[in-house]
Amino acid sequence: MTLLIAMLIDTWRELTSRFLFWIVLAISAFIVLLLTSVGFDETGISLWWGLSHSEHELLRRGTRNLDVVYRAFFSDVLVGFWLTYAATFLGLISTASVFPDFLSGGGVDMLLAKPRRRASIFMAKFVASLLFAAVPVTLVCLGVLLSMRMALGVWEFEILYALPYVLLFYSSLFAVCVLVGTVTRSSLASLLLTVVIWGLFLAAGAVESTAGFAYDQIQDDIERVQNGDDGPKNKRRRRGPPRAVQVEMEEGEFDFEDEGEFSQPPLEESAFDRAARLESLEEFAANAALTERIASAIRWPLPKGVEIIDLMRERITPEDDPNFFIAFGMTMSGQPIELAETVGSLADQVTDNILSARKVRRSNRYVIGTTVLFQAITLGLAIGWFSRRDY
Amino acid sequence: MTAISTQGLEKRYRGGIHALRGVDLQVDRGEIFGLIGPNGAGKSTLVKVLLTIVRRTSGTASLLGQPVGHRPTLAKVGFLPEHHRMPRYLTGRQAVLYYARLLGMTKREREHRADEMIDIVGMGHAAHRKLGTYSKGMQQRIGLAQAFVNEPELVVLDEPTDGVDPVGRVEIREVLLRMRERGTAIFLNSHLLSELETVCDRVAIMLEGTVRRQGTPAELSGNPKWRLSYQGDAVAGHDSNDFHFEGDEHQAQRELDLARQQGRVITHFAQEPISLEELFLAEVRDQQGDQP
Ligand SMILES: Nc1ncnc2c1ncn2[C@@H]1O[C@H](COP(=O)(O)OP(=O)(O)OP(=O)(O)O)[C@@H](O)[C@H]1O
Ligand SMILES: [Mg+2]
Repeated sequence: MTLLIAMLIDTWRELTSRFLFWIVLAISAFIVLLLTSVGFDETGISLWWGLSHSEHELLRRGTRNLDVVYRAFFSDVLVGFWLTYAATFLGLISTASVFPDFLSGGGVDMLLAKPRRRASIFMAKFVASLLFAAVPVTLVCLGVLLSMRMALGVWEFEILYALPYVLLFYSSLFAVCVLVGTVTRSSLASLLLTVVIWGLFLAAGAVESTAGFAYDQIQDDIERVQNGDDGPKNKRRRRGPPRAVQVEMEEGEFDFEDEGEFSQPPLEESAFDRAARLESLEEFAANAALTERIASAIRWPLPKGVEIIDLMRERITPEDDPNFFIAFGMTMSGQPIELAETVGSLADQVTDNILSARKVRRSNRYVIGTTVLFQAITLGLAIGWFSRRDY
Repeated sequence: MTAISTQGLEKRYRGGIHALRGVDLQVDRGEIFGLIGPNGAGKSTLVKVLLTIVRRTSGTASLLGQPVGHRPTLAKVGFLPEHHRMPRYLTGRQAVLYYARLLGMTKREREHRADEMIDIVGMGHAAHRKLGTYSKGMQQRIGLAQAFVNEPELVVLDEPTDGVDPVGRVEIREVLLRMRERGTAIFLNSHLLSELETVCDRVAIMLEGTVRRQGTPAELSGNPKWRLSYQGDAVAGHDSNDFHFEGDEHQAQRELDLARQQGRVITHFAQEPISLEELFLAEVRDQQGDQP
């Protein structure tokens, strides 16, 4: 315990002596500050701590729009982008040298000559280094918690879920950085390799979800060809059980696409053509399925960064809520999210398609378990290396 | 009671360098022991093996009666590595406290001892400045303060006077003597032979991974060296009227008698201080002679 405290204090001093640490902290604080400058009351929105006020039907206290936009801003922009990507990258840049410095000759000698086990020294340093990620994340979470309380009048404690998820995300990357740093003892090598490896993880994830998305689309197409309704324009079906609203909408009179379809007489197609099309579609589907399976097998032992952030988002914003940009756009164009869930889900489909980010339904346990396992193995290798080598 | 004892200690680094080739060494408690040897002799390797920084290949070694690798023993040992690099972002006092904490000292103990040691090494005036702003000699002093902070029973210093000015060296020597008075055994490596001979109770000469000789400086030097000068011409049997010679006390008497029998007036007669440097160079020459 004294070892951990000593390392915490030392690493804290080390981090606070780094310029980048303060940059990340300052930007995070600035964002939170900006957030607190926005307030809401019963009639509308006030900016710059009340300096200007404008009435808004949907952005006022007690509306669902406001709640959705606010939470989505937090989970999609503040955490989903700033903390997990931008701040993580800056964090890696400024902590990549922590372990190589720590292991440099003349520095580590003094630690190894102390009555502590090498593995304990290493783990204490690792945990202490996570401070870098923990401090800005905590700052942002607490800041948002407070500003939500100020702006919306509620304590949204779900926001604090971001902390463990972002830390898990960051620590799995940092473990790679530490392993490379321990073996090469070069900060540049560990930073570059970590970024490359991170890119590979992301690429594997993208291959998996793209293949899965393609598979779903082809399955839909096959279904349509089989049912004979394979017109040129067709509404895409969402994966998973259709919601009641959606069913309503499919039969509803406002669905222009369906109307368009009905107005167009189905083309006559020979049975032969149909069979040939089916065959090639099925081949596609098989390829897509194989690609997805291979990609997910490769990804099994890897950290699931994207899924972790998705899990966090689910914790904070209800699953059916549109993402920030759509919620914001709808609100600005005067659409109440409550009454337009259909539009919301449509919008969701659009973004799904744009990003081709099919949400692979994985259990929490799988995502967190495999990520923790990856981290444990990576750290185990690093500790093994550290404990066995001569300094 | 032994502070350090090694038998047949060997270290072969990955890559094949055979740095220690069977080191037998004995350091007693309460003595200052100096290890001399040319660059690459294996002095630092020996120190690192003793402190578990490097793993030995074979042989046995013990610190304060416990086998090397016994972690609790290290709490009673102080250490200053060569080319040490303490974190630049710490102040001198913070650095000493940090290492004291890792040694498991209580808060009261650490603060009391840290301030005391910082005073002893003469760094009180700069204790609150960052190490990054220190000169090399200042860092070395803080390094020493850190090595002695836990009132160790044994202190291992690798080149403690490296980068320290002559005044600082004298001061460091005084610190070492002061610590020995408290009963601390001190094991130190140094190139600066003149330093070792004034402070060490015993020395060892290390060459190519083995200890060639060890003992008190007098033991190692064998016969003492003398200088004799007198007025007038050199007498028969002497090359000059001012010369050096080696030999025991009887030999010295004989040379004196020779000069006096011829009526010469002795102007200077004294035993020359033993020079480790010469001993050491002789040892190196011997060894080079061994392998032409
Ligand atoms: N970590 C290491 N890996 C491989 N070889 C090493 C390592 N450290 C030292 N050596 C080699 O071991 C031999 C002894 O080195 P060592 O540092 O012990 O010498 P030294 O007597 O302390 O020299 P100096 O007076 O220059 O400090 C040298 O040949 C050196 O190259
Ligand atoms: Mg050395």
